[in-house]
Amino acid sequence: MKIIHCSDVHLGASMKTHLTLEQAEQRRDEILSTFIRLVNYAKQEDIHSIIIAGDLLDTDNGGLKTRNVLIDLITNSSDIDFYYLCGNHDENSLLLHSEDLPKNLKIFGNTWTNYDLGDVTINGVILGNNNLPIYQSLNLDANKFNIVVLHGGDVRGNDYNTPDTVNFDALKHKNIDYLALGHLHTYRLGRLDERATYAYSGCLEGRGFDECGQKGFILLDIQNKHLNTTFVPFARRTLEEIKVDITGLNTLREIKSAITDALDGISRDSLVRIVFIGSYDEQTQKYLQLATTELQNQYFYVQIKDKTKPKLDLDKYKYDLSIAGEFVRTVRESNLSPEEQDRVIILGLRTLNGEEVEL
Amino acid sequence: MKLLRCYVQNYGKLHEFKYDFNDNLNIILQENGWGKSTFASFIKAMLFGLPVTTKRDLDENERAKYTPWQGGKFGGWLELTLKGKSYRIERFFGTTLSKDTVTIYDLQTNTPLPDNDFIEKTLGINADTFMRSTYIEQGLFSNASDDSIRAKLGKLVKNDENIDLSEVDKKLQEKETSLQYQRGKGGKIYQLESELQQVRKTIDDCETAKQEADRLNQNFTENQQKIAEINAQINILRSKIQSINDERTAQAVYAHYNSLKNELQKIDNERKKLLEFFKNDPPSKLQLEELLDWQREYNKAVTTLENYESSINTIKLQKLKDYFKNGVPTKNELEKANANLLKLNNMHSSIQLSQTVISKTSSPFKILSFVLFGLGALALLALIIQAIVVPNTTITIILAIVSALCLLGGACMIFLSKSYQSPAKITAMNNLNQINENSNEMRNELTEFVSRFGESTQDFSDSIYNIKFNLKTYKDLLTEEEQRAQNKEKMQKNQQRYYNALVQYYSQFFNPADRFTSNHNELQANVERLEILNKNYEDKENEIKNFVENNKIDENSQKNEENIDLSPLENKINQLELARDDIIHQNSVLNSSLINYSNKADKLGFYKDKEIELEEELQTAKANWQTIKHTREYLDLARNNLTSKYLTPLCDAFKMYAKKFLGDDFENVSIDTKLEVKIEKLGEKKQTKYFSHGIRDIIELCIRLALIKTLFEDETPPLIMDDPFYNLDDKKTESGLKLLQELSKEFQVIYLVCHSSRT
Repeated sequence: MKIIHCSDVHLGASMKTHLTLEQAEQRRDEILSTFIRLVNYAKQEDIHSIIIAGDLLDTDNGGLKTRNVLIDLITNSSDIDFYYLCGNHDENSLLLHSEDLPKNLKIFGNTWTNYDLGDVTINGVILGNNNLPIYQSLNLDANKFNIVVLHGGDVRGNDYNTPDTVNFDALKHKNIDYLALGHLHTYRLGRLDERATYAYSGCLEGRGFDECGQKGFILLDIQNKHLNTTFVPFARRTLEEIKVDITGLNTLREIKSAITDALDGISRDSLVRIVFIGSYDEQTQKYLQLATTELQNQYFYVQIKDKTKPKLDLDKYKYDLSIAGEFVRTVRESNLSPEEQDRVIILGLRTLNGEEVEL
Repeated sequence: MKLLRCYVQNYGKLHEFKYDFNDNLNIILQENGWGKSTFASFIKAMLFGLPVTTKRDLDENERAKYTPWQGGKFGGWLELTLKGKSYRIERFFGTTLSKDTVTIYDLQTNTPLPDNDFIEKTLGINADTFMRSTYIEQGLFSNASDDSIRAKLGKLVKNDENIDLSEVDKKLQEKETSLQYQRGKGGKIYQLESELQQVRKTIDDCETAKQEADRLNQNFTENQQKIAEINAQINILRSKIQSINDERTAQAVYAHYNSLKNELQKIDNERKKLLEFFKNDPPSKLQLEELLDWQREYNKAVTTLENYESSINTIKLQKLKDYFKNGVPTKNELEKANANLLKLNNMHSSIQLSQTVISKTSSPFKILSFVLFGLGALALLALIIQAIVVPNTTITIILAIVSALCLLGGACMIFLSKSYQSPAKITAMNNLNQINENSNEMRNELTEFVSRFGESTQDFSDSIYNIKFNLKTYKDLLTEEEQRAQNKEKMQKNQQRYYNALVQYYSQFFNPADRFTSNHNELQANVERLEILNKNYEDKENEIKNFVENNKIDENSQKNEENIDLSPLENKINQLELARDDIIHQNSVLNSSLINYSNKADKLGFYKDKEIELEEELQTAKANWQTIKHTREYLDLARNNLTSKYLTPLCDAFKMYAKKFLGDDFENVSIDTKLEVKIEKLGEKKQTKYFSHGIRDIIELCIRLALIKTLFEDETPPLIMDDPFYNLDDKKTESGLKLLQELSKEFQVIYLVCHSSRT
């Protein structure tokens, strides 16, 4: 039996990457398209169960259009059962307030709900602020392959009351075979106990530069109660953050070359954040925007972050009886913050050198 | 500060060069290419070290430029006095700064100093300032001009003589203005603030939309719950109706069961009637077919008998009977008639033959008459031709006689032939008379024979043939008549037999029994009907059986029909459905509004993100604006500091040197804050450009010396002069050398020169 485990699709969510309004709309549509693509993948691969471990929608009322599309999608995929657990983002999901829920949309409530698929059971519950009784009431048939669906970050010990968390210790030795989790946006797989595997599928598409890298879902293949999991990268676009150290690079050409090297292997469909690090001095042609202008047309989105710091050899100005020396000494003796002193000195010296005023 | 001695181990092209300096004028006379500039650089390198740079231009990369040509250790030492103490500076250079070594020894104690920057700190200048102040390169005086004086002064307060501070400030100000206009609204900061304000307003709108969407969502959800509740109530009412309908259905089932049973009874009743009709012995299909066969045979007999009377042959026979009413001819009579006919025909042939003989028997006179007529005609023809062609009387007469004779002879012959009869002809005529007598006798006999049957006497052959033919037909018809008479009897017997059988059978069921067709039809219809009834009875029985099984009919629990009125329940359902439809309609309206608000609320994240982005951008722009502002302020401050710190001592020193070298006439010399030199002459302050080149050279030197005096208050460094007069004429060179002598009283002068004429 093959089952798809996904979570944190966050349909209808806004982007966190300073995209244009058009790009943000496009990305939002792409996230919905990716989920539709996932359902089509299940149809093509003859998979009849999809577990959604929370946060399918980004907000309770987020996108009526999205809700309608989802209802249609689920209704028209009658060969597939959708096991949908609400997460912290869609706790009161409008999806569940439809007049007639599709029969193949299986939902979980505030107490354990069990779906029997023969040798396999799918169990789930929406956790709250007092979860110990819930953990204690979990009773699974040891002779079956038991999947438990929960939404929350992992905690250990005696913490049962923190919202949006799953206590791993409380779930040990409960005859769980696979703990399908949602909430964390990065794929993670591990052992819960001798019997159980736990996994966060991560989100389907990254939305911000804190969600870089491959995103997708987990494909469970259960044969004779033996589990085999595969992470399937499925995102339309990935977000990538690359660091470019400009230390020692003085010319625009050298900086552009370093950027090109750092971007090697990154898809043109990606959203890229280029973080400039390292140090520069008054000799550096630090025209970072200029260095990345061409890239804006080559990638879906390029963001520049300048985390470089000036590194000045001011000793040579110490006894320099010149306007430059006097300027450096005057700034250094000023009440300006050290960072501002560096910025002023760099700007002043570069301007005195005849360069363009660039900050 | 005074230089004592130095040793160049390797520096550029200089190799193991040693030099002892005196305190005054040191003239180093070396030919061109010896390395005077290298020596000057060596002194600076010993004092301040060599900078490290990646620049490839050798003029900007001294370390590379002066790397020893001949190899060997790169550096040397320099001994000097500074603030009353003697020091030796040993410096050797590597490819990088870390490979450099420097040791400064106190020559009194021969111990190295801990601080390698001792010289820099003590002098208060760095290498660049040292070179800009005490190093006087070639052409200083020859190129002296008002501009160059200012340029040289400017070198003290400029890092690059090509940079104009006002240009620098202008660029910064442009950038500053691009960020924020000094007056009015404008600039990137204003633009960002406006944009941010707009975005914040949009955020407020989105927030409002979100609140409204939340409120509508709440209403929508509540309505959904109401719909669910109404649906539940409707379901309960429908269940009630359903149960009532079920009860009704059950009643209907029993009603139907009874109806089925009634139908069965009806079928059975009808069936019984038919069986009664058939006296419980309905005819089989075979019997019916047999009856039908009987009826066919009967009908056939009737028809045959009817046809018999009206047969054509019967009529024909009657006619023939009339034909032979005078008796049927015997065989002898027919043979005799045939013989007579044959004889008659033969006689007719003989008559014809005799007539032919009579007619064909010709007279010889007749033939001769033809010959004579022919010859007469020929002679007459010849007479005519001759009379026309060859007229000859003799011949004509002869021919005329001949022809007349012939014609006359012919006429005589014809006459003779008329009265002539041959013996053959006489015989033939006798025979013909005899035959005619016999023929008449035969004809009379035949006429008598054929007249018996009314046949024609014209053609005995046809008449006899007709008699024969009719006789044969007559005989055949008589035979047939006899046979038909036999059949008729047989048919009459059959007719009677089948009639009796049919009547006997049908009389069981019908009266009268001899309406065979209608009886049979009715009988067959009844049989078929009985079959149908049997089948219907069986089907109905099965239907009842199945119905009983399917509906679990219990004979003992017959349902009594209750007439419960469903309309109150249905009315209630209608009311609930109306209420629900109303809520659904409300939700539909809500849904539209919710979509609108949600669409706007959906953009909240984007605009908040945009707000953060704009805030960051604005913060950056403000920080940049602040930095530019600070940069402008501090550049201005530095320039003011520089000028104010050195301007007064510079003017004093300049006046001192100007008086020393130019005399009292130039006492009123001034330098303004822009380092512009003005000289008062005849009560008017004039720029240096109004004076001669000689005067301007002196002014240049005075300014340079004033600068040195100003920069180095206690410790005056040596003046290093790299052939400054090489381009001057002899007179000016002499003046310059005199000036050197004067300067050497106050400064240690190191004068590098390549020609003895300038020493």
